[in-house]
Amino acid sequence: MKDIKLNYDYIIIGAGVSGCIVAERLCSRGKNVLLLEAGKFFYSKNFLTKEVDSNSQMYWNGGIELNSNASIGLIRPKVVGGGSIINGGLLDPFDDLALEGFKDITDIDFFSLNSLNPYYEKINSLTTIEKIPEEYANLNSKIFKQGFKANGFQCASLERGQKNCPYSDGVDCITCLSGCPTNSKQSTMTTYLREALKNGAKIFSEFKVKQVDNSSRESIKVSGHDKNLKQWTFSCNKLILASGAIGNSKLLINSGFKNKNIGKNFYTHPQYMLMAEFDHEVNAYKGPLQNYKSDDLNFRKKGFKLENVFAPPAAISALFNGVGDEFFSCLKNINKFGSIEVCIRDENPGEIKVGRNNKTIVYKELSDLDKKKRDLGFDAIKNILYSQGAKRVIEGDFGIGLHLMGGCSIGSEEKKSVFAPDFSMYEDKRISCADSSIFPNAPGINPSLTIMALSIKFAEELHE
Amino acid sequence: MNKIALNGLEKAGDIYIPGDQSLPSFSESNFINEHQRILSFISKDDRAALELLLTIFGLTPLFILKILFNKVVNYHHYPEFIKTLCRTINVGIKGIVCALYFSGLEEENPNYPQILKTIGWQPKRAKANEDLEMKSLIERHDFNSMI
Repeated sequence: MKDIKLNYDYIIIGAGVSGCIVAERLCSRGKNVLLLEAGKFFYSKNFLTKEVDSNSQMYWNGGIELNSNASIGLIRPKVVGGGSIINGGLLDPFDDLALEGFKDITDIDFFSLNSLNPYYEKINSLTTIEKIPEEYANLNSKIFKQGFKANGFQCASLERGQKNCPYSDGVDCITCLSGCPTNSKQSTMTTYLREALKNGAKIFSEFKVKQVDNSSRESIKVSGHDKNLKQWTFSCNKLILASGAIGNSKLLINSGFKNKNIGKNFYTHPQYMLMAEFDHEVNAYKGPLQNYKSDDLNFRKKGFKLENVFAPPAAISALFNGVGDEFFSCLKNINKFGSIEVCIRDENPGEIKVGRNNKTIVYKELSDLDKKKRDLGFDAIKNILYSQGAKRVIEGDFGIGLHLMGGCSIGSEEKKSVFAPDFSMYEDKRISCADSSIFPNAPGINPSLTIMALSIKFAEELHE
Repeated sequence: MNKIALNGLEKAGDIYIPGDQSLPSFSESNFINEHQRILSFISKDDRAALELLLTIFGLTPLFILKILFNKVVNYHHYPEFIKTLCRTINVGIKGIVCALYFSGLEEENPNYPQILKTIGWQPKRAKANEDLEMKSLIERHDFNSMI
């Protein structure tokens, strides 16, 4: 215990995508940095292999949190490496449409491809990004591609952070949704955090931050407890929030920050997976899992995108309707199902609040326009799947929120936002943030790569 | 969790997973013995609410519970607050039951039935790297390993 220092130049709350990158950048400049992370530190051999364990131990609240009317399940990782451990590794840059949307709301000039491209390129120094090879595409992916072609839609190969993935050994990437045992998936734990730790960063995993106290001019105090419920208080000159839309909003509300925009403008890219039953086996769990995404300007303009996806049985069970034989026979025949999901660029903002007993309450619903986008996506998916011989397509109304964004928007006007264009908090310039919680709206594109780019930009421009 | 609640979970589990000639029902599978692998990680408030709900299920005759669950999963025409309740029950109970039944716990204990093998769900996991570097970094830099 005597080795545990209590004072740091920087404390970063959250060792996910943004936190690990900022830690690496700061440590490379000789700063002393402490990362506080509520989740466990899993790596290679000790990743959990059973879905029951990974659901309950790598996500908040045992696997899923529901919005206030239980129509959307919010999937919030709680693990060192954050979303980069449990996602499919997909990394897409934003397009002009997404960045123009950000710029219109925030009036911040760096939301343009010209400004962000250098940071997108810098990610390649520690992260290998590759197209998922078509020769290993499984039948679920082939159905997606051929169905697009049959309907005159445009699709493209997905790119993801991966290096030397052992496809040729017959490995199935669905098993890596609870952590990649070979370090092929380029999680920020295996890339940026590794370098940060080599350069002296400290981390406290399984540490729950409860309070930020910025009342002193000398330092900011961060208190919370470890896994044994022992209380700790650390102090720092500068504090960086990196625990995502819900984590950051909740902490700021609980710590008594007054900005009325905290918790507002929350977006999730609600995703709806449609399951299609075929006469033959699809074996959607095989190989790289995902290969293609929609690359159709018409879809993009209408506010949705499609991806070929699948998930392990317990997660998939949420998508099958009914009870008894109607439900059970679907899971029993899971290998005859393929799936495509629609992901909506949601326009209706939600709000994050803290209720009784510190319970997170998320108000988030689809507007009529959002529902229209979802339904257009459903129509396209059904056309694709039926064109490839699906016997039936099961349509569910339960949405999944994997891309949790906003709640602490960045912007040029204090009355409309929480963080300023230099990523510092209007209420206290010593507190900063560059993760997805600063997003001012839903970009309609996987946010990971842009969180990485913004985090690099922020950390490199951080002044003494 | 009290015995009546566990009985309630088994009854609800059998409504989702009744079993057939090749696979056991949820209660026959005995995966309920592993319920703490989920419940230990749910927040205290949610766990208390779940235990209360499952206790009610435990005290309710099975035929009434079957009728109730048929209503729960066909919620679309109910008023919004009932819809919310139905969705919460459906997602929560189905999630627990299916996570226990379909997680391959039989690989750890041969006394459990071979569910994943029977349904043909057998993804291949890559052989793990040792990653001794990360092991050493954690030992030296993660305070959690020092307390």
